[in-house]
Amino acid sequence: MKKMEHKNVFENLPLCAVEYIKLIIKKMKWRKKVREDVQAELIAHFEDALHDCKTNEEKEKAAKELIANFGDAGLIAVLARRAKKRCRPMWQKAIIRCFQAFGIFIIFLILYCFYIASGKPTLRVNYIQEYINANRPVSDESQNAESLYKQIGKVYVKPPEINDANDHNNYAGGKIDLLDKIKHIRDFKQLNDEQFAMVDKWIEDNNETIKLFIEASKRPYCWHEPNASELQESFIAMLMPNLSSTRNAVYLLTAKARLKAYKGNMNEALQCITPLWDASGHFSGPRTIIEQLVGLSIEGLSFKAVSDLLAEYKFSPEQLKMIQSRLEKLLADNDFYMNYGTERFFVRDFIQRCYTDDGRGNGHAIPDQLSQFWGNFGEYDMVTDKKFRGLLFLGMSVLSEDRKEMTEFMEHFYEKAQQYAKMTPWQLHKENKSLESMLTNWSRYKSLRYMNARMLLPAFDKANTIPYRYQITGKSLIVTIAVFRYQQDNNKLPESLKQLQETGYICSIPIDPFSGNEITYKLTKDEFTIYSFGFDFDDDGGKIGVNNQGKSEMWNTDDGDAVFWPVGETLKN
Amino acid sequence: MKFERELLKGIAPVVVLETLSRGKMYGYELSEAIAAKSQNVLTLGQGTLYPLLYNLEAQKLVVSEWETSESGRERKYYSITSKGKERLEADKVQLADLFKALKLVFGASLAEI
Repeated sequence: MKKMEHKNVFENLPLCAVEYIKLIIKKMKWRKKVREDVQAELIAHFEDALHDCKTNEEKEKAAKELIANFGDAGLIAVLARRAKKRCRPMWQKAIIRCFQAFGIFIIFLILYCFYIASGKPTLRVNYIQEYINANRPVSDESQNAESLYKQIGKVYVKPPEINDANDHNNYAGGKIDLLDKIKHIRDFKQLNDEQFAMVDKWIEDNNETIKLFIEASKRPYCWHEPNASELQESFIAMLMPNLSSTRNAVYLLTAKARLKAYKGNMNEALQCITPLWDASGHFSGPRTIIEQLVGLSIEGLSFKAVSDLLAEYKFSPEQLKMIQSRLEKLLADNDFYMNYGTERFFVRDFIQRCYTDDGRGNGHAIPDQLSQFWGNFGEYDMVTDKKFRGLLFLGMSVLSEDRKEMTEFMEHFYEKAQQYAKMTPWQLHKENKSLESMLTNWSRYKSLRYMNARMLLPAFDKANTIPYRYQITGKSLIVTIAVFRYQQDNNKLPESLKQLQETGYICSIPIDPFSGNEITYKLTKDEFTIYSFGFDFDDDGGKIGVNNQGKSEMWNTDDGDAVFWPVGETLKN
Repeated sequence: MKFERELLKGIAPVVVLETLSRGKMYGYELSEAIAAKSQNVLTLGQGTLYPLLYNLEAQKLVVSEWETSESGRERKYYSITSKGKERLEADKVQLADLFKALKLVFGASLAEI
C-alpha cells in the first residue's frame, strides 16, 4: 500500500457522520496507523456519497441514510479490525505468535512458581532418633562415654602461646601455639628448656582432661542422647559438640606419651597411647562421615605417636610384643572402610524437609525450606538481599528434579558409594571406578536439575580412601614392630616379610591397598624401609612424594610412595 | 429487491472481484458500480464492504493504493490481482454449476421468478 499522509478532516461532513466515523475508529482498537487509514477511507466514502447534496439539511439527511446503510458501528469496527489483522505479513504474525506463546509461558511459570512456593513439607521420620537407635546398642548410660567427652570440653586447658621465631609454621611475629609446635616435631629433644617446661605445665594442668579421657576410653560405647528440643531439629543441626574437645584430648595424650618417653618412662608412655585405640572405636560403625573421620584420625595420631617413639626410644621386647598384640586386635576388630549406613539419613532428612510429599513418593522442592537448609550450612550467605535470595531459591526449586527422582538418585549414589567404599583404592583404580567422575560427566542441564544433590554429596572418592590409608599405616606399624622384635631376638634384620611370617613374628603379610600386592619391605645397608605405593599406584623405590610447594608429603596424590619406615622420611619438612 | 444478508454473504466476494476485474475502483465507486450493474438488486451493506475488501486484501486477491483522483481527492483504489483473477474464474465456474443445479431443482418455476 502506498504510504500517504491522509487529510483526516471532517470539515465537509455533517456532525452525525463525523461522530459515526469516529465511533467506528474508536471501537476498532487497533494500531493508530491502520485506524487513520480506515478513517481516511471512510471520510472519502462519506464525502463521495454526500457530494451531490446542496444544503446542509440534505447532507444531514443523506448522511443518516448512509449511516443506516452502513449498520452498527461496533460490528463494522470489529469486522474491520479482524480483516486488518489478517492483512499483517507472515513475519509479523510469527513474531506476535511468539510473544503470545511467551506470554502464556510466563503466566504458567508465575502460576507454577506460586504453586512451588506454597508447598509445605511433611515430616514422617525422625532421622535423629533413627541415628540414635543405630548407634545406641544398650540403654545403660554407664556404658556411654559421651558424658565424659562432654566434661572434657569443660575442663580442657588450652595450650599457651610460645615464642618461636624459627618455626617454619610461624607467621605471627614469633608467637605460636604450643600444640602446633609439638605437632610438628618428632621428639621433645627439639624443644628448648622454656618450651619444655611449658609443655610439662600444660600437661599437668590437663590432668583432669586426661583422666576423663582414659575413663571414657574404658566405656564400650558412645552415643549422643538428645533432649526433646534437639529431637525436633533437622538432622544437619544435630549436635555433635564433643568432637573438637575429644581431638584436643588426643593431642594431649600423644604429647604426654612423648614427654614420658623423653623422661625414660616407656610404660607410662604406652599407657597414654592405648586409651586412644579404645576411644577410636567410639566413632566407628554407622556414624556420620565426620565422626568416622575423627575416629580414624585418633587412630592415625596414635600410630604416628608410636612410630615416633619407636624411632627415638628403645622399647623392651615385652613392650613391643604388647604394642603389636594391641594393634593386631585393633585392626582385626575394625572395619576399615567408610560406613554410610546413617550418613544417608542426612540426605533423606534434607529431602523430607525441603520437598513436598504427595503421598506416593513424589513432590517438588520448597524455596523457603531450601533457603533455611542452606542457611544452616552457611551456603549462600553472601546473598544478603532478601528478594534476590528468595528468587534464587525459587529458581532452584523450579529447576530442581522432583522428590522421587532425587530420592532414587541419592539412594543409588549412596549404594554405589558403599559398594566402592568396600573396594580398595587399587581395585577402584584398576577397574577405573570413580563416583566423582559420574557427576563430572553430567550435562549442564542434569547438573542444574541435581544442583542440591551435587552440593550435598561429600567427596566420596576421597573419603573412601582415608580408612585404607589408616589401615595400611597401622598394619605397617605392626610389621615395623615385628621387624624390631626379630632384630632384638636375632641380632639382624629379617631378609623378607615372608621370613618374618615364617618365624611367627607376624600372622600375615599385609596387602597394600594401593598396589594389590604385599606391602613393600626393603633392606638397605643397616636399615630397612617399609612403604606403600601410595596414590600414584606405582613403585617409586620408597621415595616420598613432593607436593606443589616442594614439600615432602606422605600421601601426595601425584607421585611418590607412602613411606612408613624410616619415620624421618615423613617428617623432614 | 434486497437479498437476505446471509444469502448475499457467500457471493459478495465474487461480486466484488468481478466488478474489480473491469478496472481499479475506490470503495464508494465500487459500491455504486455493484448497485448500478445489478440494478440495485445487489446492494452490499456499505459497512460490510470495507471489511470485505480488507479480507480480500489479506488473501492477496486484491491490492490497494492511495491515489489522487481526477477531482483532486485522495482515494484508496482497489484492483484485482492475478491470484484474485484465478479465484474469480474458479468461483464463476462454481456459480454456473450452482445455477444449473438450481434450475434442475426448481425447473420452470425458477425462470418464472
